[in-house]
Amino acid sequence: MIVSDTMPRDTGGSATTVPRARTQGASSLVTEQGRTTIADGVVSKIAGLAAREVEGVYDMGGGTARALGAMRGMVGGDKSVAQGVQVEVGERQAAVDLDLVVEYGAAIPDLAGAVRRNVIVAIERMTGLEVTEVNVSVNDVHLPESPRSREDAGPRESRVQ
Amino acid sequence: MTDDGLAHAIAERVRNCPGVAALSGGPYGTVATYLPGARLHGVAVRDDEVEIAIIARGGRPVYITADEVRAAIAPLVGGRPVNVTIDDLEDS
Repeated sequence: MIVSDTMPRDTGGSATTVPRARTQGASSLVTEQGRTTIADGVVSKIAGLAAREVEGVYDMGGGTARALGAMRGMVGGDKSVAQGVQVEVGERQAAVDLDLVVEYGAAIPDLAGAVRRNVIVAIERMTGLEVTEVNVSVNDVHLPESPRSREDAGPRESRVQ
Repeated sequence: MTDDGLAHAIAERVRNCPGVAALSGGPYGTVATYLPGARLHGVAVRDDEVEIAIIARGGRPVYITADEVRAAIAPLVGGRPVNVTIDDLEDS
């Protein structure tokens, strides 16, 4: 299931407008004393951590990324915080695409808005880059384990002696 | 100061900045000073600029760390612009 929820910030309504995290202007990265360049991986990590912080986000990444992540976990590797995050980083601005797996029961538009806000604030505070857009795509819903499936999985007692 | 000495002095000051976890090679390992028998990663002193690449510590704004680096080595670079690349964040 794919639910795409795209909102460039400049067209956002008043209810979804994100407060500006920084007031000193995006030019703090390009100064007369030199330039500050921020690598894609830095922005991905910050975005991944900020998105996972939001309650209701179960996991991140598409099916393939999650399968590869699970395999990497089996061979003892660390799970990448940047899984499910694609970024484009310029000199002053960044754009972010997120793939989410949400918990069953979460209101997806509300959750996407909360994730977007948290990611924008985190990136703008931590890097000084202006975030132009955060596209959230919900790839899957994580279902709670139902009592019935748990019963099926458990050892069955014999009905006869 | 010779160029080699300058690069080492810059590296030392950058490493001592609180927001810097380590020097890094930068994109494709291209930010480096080539010395006899060794390569100093993360510092490139050129005629018109000084380039620094670092791995920053998480939990604080990286542009502040970059400004700190710039301020720390400003006395050594003689007015050249200092271009700082944040290559990665240290996993916290």
